[in-house]
Amino acid sequence: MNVQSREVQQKLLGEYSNIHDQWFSDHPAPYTAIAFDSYYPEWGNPQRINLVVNAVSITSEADILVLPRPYVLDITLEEALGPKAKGTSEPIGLIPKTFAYDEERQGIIERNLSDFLVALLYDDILKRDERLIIFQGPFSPKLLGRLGYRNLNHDITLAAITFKNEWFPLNVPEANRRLNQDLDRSRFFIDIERSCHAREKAFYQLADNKPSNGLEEVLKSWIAVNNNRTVFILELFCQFPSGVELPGGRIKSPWITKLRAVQESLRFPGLVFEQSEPIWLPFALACAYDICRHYGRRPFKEPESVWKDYWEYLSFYEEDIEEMYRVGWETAEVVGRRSLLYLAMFSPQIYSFVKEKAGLIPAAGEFDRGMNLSRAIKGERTRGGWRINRWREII
Amino acid sequence: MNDREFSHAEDNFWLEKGLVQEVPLGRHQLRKILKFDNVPESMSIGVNRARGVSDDLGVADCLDDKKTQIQAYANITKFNQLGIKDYLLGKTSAADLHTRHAHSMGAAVIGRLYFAALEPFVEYTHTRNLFKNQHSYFEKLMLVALYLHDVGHLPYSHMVEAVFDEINWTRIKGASHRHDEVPLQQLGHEEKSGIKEAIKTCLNLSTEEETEQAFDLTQDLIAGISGIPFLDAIINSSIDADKIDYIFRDMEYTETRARLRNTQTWLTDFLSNISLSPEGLVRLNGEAALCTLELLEERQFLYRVLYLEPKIRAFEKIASVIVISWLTRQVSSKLLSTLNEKAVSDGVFQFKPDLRKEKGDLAYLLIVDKFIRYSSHHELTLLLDMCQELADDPYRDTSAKQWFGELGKRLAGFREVQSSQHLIEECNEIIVEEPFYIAKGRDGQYVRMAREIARNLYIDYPCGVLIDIVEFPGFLPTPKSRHFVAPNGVIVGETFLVPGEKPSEWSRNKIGRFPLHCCDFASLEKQFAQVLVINTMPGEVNGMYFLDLFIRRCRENGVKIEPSIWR
Repeated sequence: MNVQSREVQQKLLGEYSNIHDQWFSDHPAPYTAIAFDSYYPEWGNPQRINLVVNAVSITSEADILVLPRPYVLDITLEEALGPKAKGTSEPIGLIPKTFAYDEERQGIIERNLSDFLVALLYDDILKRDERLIIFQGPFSPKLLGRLGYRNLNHDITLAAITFKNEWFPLNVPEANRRLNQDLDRSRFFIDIERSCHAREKAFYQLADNKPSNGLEEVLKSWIAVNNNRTVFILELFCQFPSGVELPGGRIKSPWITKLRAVQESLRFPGLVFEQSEPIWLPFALACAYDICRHYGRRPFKEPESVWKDYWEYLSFYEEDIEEMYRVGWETAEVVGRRSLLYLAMFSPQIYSFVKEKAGLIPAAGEFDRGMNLSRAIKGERTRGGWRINRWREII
Repeated sequence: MNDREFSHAEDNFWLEKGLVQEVPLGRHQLRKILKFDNVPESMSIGVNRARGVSDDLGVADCLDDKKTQIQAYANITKFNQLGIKDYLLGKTSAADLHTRHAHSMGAAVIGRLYFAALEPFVEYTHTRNLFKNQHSYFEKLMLVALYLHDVGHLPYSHMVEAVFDEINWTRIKGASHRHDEVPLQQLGHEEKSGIKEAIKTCLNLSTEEETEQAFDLTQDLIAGISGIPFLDAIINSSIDADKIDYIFRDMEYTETRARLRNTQTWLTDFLSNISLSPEGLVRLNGEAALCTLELLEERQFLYRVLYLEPKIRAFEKIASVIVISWLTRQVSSKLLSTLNEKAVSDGVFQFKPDLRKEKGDLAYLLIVDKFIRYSSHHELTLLLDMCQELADDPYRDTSAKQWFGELGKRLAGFREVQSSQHLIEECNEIIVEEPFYIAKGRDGQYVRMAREIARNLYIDYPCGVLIDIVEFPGFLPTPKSRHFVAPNGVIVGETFLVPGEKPSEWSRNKIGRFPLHCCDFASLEKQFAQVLVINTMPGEVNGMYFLDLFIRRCRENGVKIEPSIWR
C-alpha cells in the first residue's frame, strides 16, 4: 500500500486538531477499511457491471495507507451465469435497483465481491497484523459464509458499516436491548458536530437491530441514529466471542470491546454524502469509499442530488472531485477538505478560518454561514477563471 | 461374426477373478423374441481365449507412454475409487488397488465386451455406413474415452464434488463441477496435447485435422453426446460400462453383501440379450432388462448400505469440513496473486472474473500437488496434514485450532485398523441419536432450506456439531449431459429401449421398445434426504441441543421430517 502525502495529512490533521483535541491523537487505533462501489461501464448494457474495491488503512503512526490502484472486477453477468450449486446462500440484493435482476445475477456480484474481499483480507490485510477491519456493509450471507469457514481469531474485529440508505431495508430491525443497556447508549457514538459547537441533535445514537438471517450468536447489529434518521447500520462478526473477566467476577462482553474499537476509529472521522445526506464514517472507510465512488468512466450519471441552498457550496465541491482525482489529489485530501468544508457551516472556528481566505462576512448561524459560503464560491465560479486549486486556498 | 479374444490391459479385478476370460453369449432366446436370424446363436467373447481374432488395440499402451505429459491420467492411479471409505471400513490393504485408474481399466474391459456383444447388430442400423470399415476406429476411441472418463476426478472422489458444490467452486467455466461430463475440458494445454498424440498414435492418424476430430469425438463420447447412441450407451448412460464396473468392483473391495446374482452370470445374461434397434438405440430385451433392473436396484442398495451409510457419512462429513476449511484458507491466500498475474495491465487491476473457476483450478493444483507426494495411505495422510496445518494457522482462533487437532487425532485412529469395528465404536460416540429424513419437496426446496439452516448453525456454533444432509439418488442415473432444455421442458436423449413402461411387467419374452427414461420408477425411489447430526466433541458439547435446534428450525420453515423411511 502507498503512504499518502504526509504534508497533506499533517496539514489536514492539524486543522482537525485546531478544531477539537478529541478529534485526532498522534497515535490513533490502527485499522483498515474496505469499500466498494459498482457502475455500468457501457451505456445501455445492464449486463456488464464494474465492481471497484479499495482498501485504506490508518496506522498507529497516523499514516494513511492506500492501495496503489483500486481493484476493478469487470463482470459480464450473462457470461458468469452458471447452475445454482447445492447449499449456496441466497443473495441479499446489492446490485443497483435500476434494472431488475434475478437471484442468480444478484448472486454473481455478491459472490465475486465476497471472494475478493476475503482474498484481500488474507493476502494483504491480515499479513499486516491488522486487528480491526471495517468493511463497507452489509455483511452479505455469502461473505458471512466465507468468513464462517475461516474461524478467524476472536481478537480480530470484523465490522461492517452500511451507510448507503438503499440497502437499509436489507436488515430488519428487531429488539436487542440487553447489549445496548450495557453500552450506555446515550453517548455511545460520535458527537462530531457537537464537538464543533454544533447542534445537540447531532449525536449518533445506537438503536437496536437484530439480523434476520438466523445468525444469533456470531453476528450483532446496531443502527446509528441521528435525529430519528438512520445514519448507518453497524454489524460485528465474531465466531468465538469470549468475554473478559472483570474484578468481582463480572464478565465483560466481547461485543462491547469490539464496539469500543469501532468507536475509537470514529475519533478521526471523514465525511461522505449519500443522496445529499452527510454521513460521518471512520476516516479510512470514507476515503476508501470516495475512491471507489469516483473511479471509472461512468456513462450513467446519477441524477443530481437535491442540495439545500445553504449547502450549495458543498455541491460545487462534489462537482469538482472528479477533476481533483484526475489531477492527482490524494483521497485523504479530498475527503479531509470535504469534511472541514462541511464543518465550516457549523463551527465558528472553521468558518472564521475559511472566511479569511474566502473573504466572507461574519455570520452567526449555520444557515447564514452556509449561505455566505455558497454565495462567495458561486460568485467566483460565475465570474469565470475558477481553478481547482482554489479549494486549497479556501481551506 | 467370429468369436472375439481381447488383449487385456492391466485390470486386476475382472481378469484376476477370472470373470471375463470367456463370456459365452447364448443368443437363442434373443433370436426367438426378435425373430432375427442374422446373428449367430452362440458366440464367445473374452480376453483369454485360445482361438479367435487377436486384436491388440494397444490403446492403454499409447496412453501410458504419454503418462508424464497427461498428469491427470497419471494422478488417477493414486486416487482411491471411494475416497476414504476403504480406510474407514478397515480395508486399508486393498485401498491402493481400489483406484480410479484400476476402475477405468475395468470399465474398458466391460466396454469391449459390451461393444462386441452389440457389434453384430450395427450393420442393421442407420449407422452402418458410418461404421463401414471403421469398427476398429470407433472401438479404440471408445476405449480412450473409457480410460480417460475419470481424469477430471480430484482426490476423495465424489466427496470433493460435494465440497465444490457446497462452496460453489468449479473447474469448468460456466458449469458446476462434475467430473463425468467434460473431464477433458479441465485439462491444461500440455495434457490435451498428450492425449492427442496418444490418439494419433493408436489410431494411426496422419493429419492434425483428423486428430482434432478424434479428440473432439472422444470428448463427446465421454459426455455421452456423440450422436452414436450405442457408443453413448456404453460410455455414459444409465447402464454404462462405468456403472457395471464400479458396482461389482465396490461390492468386492468393500466386501459388501450382494443381492445380485453371480457376477459372471449377470454379465452373460445381460450381454446375451442386448441388441440394437434400427435407430441404433440399445434394446434391453427380456433377460437383459431384468438384469438392468437388478443392477439399478443393487446400486440403490449400495447407496443405502455403503455410499450413504450413516457411519461412513459421519466421517466423510468431518473430512469434508477439513477439506473445505483447508482449501478456502489456502485459496484465499493465493487468489489475489493469481488474479494479479492475469490482470490486464492498463493502469488498473482489471479482470473479467469467473472466480468460481479460478478457485476451482487453484484448489485442484493445491490438493493434487500435496496428494501425489505421499507414498501410501494418500487420502488419510493428506487429511491429517490438513488438520495439522489448520491447527497451526496463525489467523485461526485457538478453539478452532484445538478442534482441528482433535479431528486429526480421531482420523489418525483409522491408519492401522483392519476391520470396521473401530468405525462402529467411533460412531457410537459421535452420532447423535439415529439419522432421520426430510422430504425433498418440489425441486429439492426443503433440502435447500435444511442445508441453509445447517450452514448457519455451523457458522453460529462453529467447531462442535456438524449436520450432514445428503439426498438419495434417483433410480435412473441418466447423465445430465443428455438432458436437453426445450421450450416445453427438458427432453432426455435416451439410448435404451426396455420392454414397457412398468418395470413390474418386464419379462424374459419381451422386446425392448419403450424409452427407458419414460418408465415409472417412482415406487423404487426414495424422495428423501438423510440427515445426520454429528457431535465431534462429545462430553464438551451437548449434541442433543443442536439436534433439537435443527429440527425446530426446520419445522419453523415448513421442512417435513420423517423419523424413518425404510419400512
